[in-house]
Amino acid sequence: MVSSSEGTSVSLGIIIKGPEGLVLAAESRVTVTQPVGQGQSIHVNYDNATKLLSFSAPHTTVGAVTYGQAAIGLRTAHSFVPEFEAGLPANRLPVGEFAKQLSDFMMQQWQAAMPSDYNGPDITFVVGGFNENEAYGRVFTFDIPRKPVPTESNQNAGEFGITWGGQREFVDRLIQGYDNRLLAIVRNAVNMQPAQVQQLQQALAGIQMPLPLAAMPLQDCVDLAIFFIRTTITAQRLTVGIRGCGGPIDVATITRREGFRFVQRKEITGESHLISSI
Amino acid sequence: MASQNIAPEFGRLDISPITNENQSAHFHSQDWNSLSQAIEVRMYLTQPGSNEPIELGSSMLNVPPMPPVQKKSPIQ
Repeated sequence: MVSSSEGTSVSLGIIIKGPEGLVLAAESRVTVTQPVGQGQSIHVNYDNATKLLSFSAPHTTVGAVTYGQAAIGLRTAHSFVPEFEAGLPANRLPVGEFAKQLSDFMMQQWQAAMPSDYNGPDITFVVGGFNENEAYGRVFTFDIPRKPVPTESNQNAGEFGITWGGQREFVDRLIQGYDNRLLAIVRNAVNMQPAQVQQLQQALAGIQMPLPLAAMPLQDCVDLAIFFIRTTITAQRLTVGIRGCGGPIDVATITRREGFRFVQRKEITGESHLISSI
Repeated sequence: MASQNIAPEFGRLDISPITNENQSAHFHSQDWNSLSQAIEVRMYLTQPGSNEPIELGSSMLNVPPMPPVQKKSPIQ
């Protein structure tokens, strides 16, 4: 996530829709960019932001991850959750309706707090959850402020999938088998015609990561989400580039039977471990 | 350039360049019937007190061959 109005998307969030349930995962880094004049900026990272959102009863069968722009005004999406919940009805909502209400709420906050000439990255929300009496989860994505209408992913019968966003470069490479810039680079380097580019693209489809999501148990979907985020954090740590991902990885599952459940979640800590050793 | 890759065995990718307006990418799984034609899926049950797995079922099978491994000396 980035808190300035410049630069491109940072952070990384993932939702996996598997046959046994949904997995939501996000890292914890927030990047604050401070202009210091003459076109230069200072980037400062904090590694304890909350980008995996959970909600109080009766909305315990839904959750969300956010990436892109970190804050609306000076507040994170996570900080708005209590106010959002205060406006929700007392009954459980279908996931699509929940996503719409969350989008409407966040758009109101955006319009109240952000400049009209904002040109930075959107703040993206991926909302996942279960409708009553449905076997499989639902996943909706919306972007504030540019695309506020939630769109559903993997909505065909028996279709599962992965939605990921933010600093996608390393996950794109892993899943697709090559960097997303490859086709444009090759096209320009050898002056390929559009039909040839399409041909090349089809030929490269065979190196896609073979992920049999329809057969993957929930634990393996959890492992896959952590693998993608941990790999991105490690790759950024070891290479030259914007280190927009870091800190603990929060992970939760949503199942039809148990609803939203944290698998791993960072905690607020002090120095008690130091005090007890004195 | 947006890319719409079709990998019949496992699923479809929807990946476009990362911009301020487009930060997300999607993977759409292949349906189970098509998937089970591409890979072998076997399910086993192990009973308590027995190490003998009982095969519950399987589906077949068109696993694409792995490329041959080039044998090299570990010291180059």
